[in-house]
Amino acid sequence: MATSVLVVDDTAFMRLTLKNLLTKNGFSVVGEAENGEDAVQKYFELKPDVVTMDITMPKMDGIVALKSILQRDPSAKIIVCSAMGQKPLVIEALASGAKDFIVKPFQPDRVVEALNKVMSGGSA
Amino acid sequence: MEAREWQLDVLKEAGTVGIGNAAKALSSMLCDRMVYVSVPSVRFVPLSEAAWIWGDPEAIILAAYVPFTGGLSGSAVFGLPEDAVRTFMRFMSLAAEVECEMYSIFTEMANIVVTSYLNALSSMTGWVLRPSVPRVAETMAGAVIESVLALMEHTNDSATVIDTTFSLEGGHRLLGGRLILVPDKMSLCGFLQAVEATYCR
Repeated sequence: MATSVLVVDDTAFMRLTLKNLLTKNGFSVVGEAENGEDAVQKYFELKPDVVTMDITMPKMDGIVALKSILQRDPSAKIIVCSAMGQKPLVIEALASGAKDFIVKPFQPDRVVEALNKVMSGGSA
Repeated sequence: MEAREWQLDVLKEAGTVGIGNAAKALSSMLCDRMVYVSVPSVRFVPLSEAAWIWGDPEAIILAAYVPFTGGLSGSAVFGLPEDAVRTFMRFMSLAAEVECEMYSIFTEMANIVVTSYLNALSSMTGWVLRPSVPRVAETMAGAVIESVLALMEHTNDSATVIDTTFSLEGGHRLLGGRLILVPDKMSLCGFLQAVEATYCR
């Protein structure tokens, strides 16, 4: 069965790009969310295997959403996918429980590799 | 070197490092096309002249306004003139192999370019700089800049502006836009001191 993914990003363009890329590589995108609040709600509705989470979003940012999900489900697998590749932020995201941190703009292979690694039990 | 001259030099260097990182990100989003950038100019612009920062204040541009906070706070404006928008969006859609509404593509482009610029400034100081979600509008260049400076509530009569142009080959000519950074005056002193502490110890 294909790995199910919830894609979280505030721009439709990035959600479509990730959905396209993941679908082509055998993943199943079961839902999309455009802000952190929406992400938390959809996570518990859909229970995806993996979440790709942007940071800079309206209403609730990705780090707050990540913490909120992990508080209720410590086994959640969340990969942060953001342009904010500043070292302290990457450390904060990983320390908060993110399994990996992908800096935008990304190479498609990097995304697929991160998801495969997380699903096989590894993390960054 | 006079304090003011030294400060201009530091800001110019910061602008060069920032736009270098932003251009790398932009190139990656545009199928690795070569992105040309100008040497940043740092100016103290009287607010009464703000509308002319872009050149023609009545030129129609697609602009993203991105306020940012952190050790250094301020605003960034990423803009493309009308004649460049379609080409930039087409290249970005081609690279991502998806078709999408223009505003959404431009918002993501602005987010990545401005954040990449801020990432470089962060690496110069170790400070975290947090951009807000871009606010996008198609409007007159002069109006955008005037609104940004008004929103920053400058009480003084001038703003420090770090201005860079970027371009790429589209057909037989160069198509490009601008990335303008307007740091908040109060946080600028701290930023200059942090850069000095990092580079001059």
